[in-house]
Amino acid sequence: MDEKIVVVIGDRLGKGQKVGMGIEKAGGKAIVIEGMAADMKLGDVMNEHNATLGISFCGSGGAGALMAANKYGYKVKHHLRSIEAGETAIREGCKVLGFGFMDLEDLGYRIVKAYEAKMKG
Amino acid sequence: MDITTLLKQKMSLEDESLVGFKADFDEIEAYVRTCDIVFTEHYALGFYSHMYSYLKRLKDCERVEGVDLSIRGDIEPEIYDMTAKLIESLAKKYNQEVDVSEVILAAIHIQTAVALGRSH
Repeated sequence: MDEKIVVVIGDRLGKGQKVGMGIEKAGGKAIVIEGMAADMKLGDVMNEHNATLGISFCGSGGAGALMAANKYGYKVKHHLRSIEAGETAIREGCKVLGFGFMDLEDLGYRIVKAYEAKMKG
Repeated sequence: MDITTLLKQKMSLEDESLVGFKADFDEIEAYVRTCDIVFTEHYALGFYSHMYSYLKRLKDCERVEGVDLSIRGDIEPEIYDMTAKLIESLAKKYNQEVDVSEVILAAIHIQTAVALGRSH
């Protein structure tokens, strides 16, 4: 049985639920960190759950993703402004993505699908 | 390690991206020290990378989108006011109005640092 793609979401303002819905719709498992400053906990929760990917949302899309990458050595792309940029980052092998605020179901769905496509080679 | 070197390394920035903001980072660091805020390593990266993005928004006259202002209720008033003073000072230098969204986003970093300090 294929293992599920586990994606942790950390939004500075505690959102990210719609992204989570998109991840689940794509067949992945979403872990949405609750509460304010969730982006700052992204790395710890990714590590705790041995997550496949992490997505951070804040003003410009840097802080949470950079913190996760710095603490755990994950490959990161930050300051992303579009879903397409996120898909590209996945193809480049990034494990943590940092976006500006963008709580969209489509983002979650397409990130999972981009990862699946990359794994199929 | 000084802030600009930290950001240059961790964000893969060129010198040109940071040189114009050196005085702003000096002001931010001095203010944070005055307020007795201590950021541990990873949180320092988080805060100063956020402030770099904020300074860029000020310079480019960009506004941050998507901030639910009701979250202000979750920020301690003293921390909000402390952060507002810093944001006001920086905004003034760039001839920009104070954006409540920006105060909130920066205050969350400071409140996190304060909370961590209290727990140790």
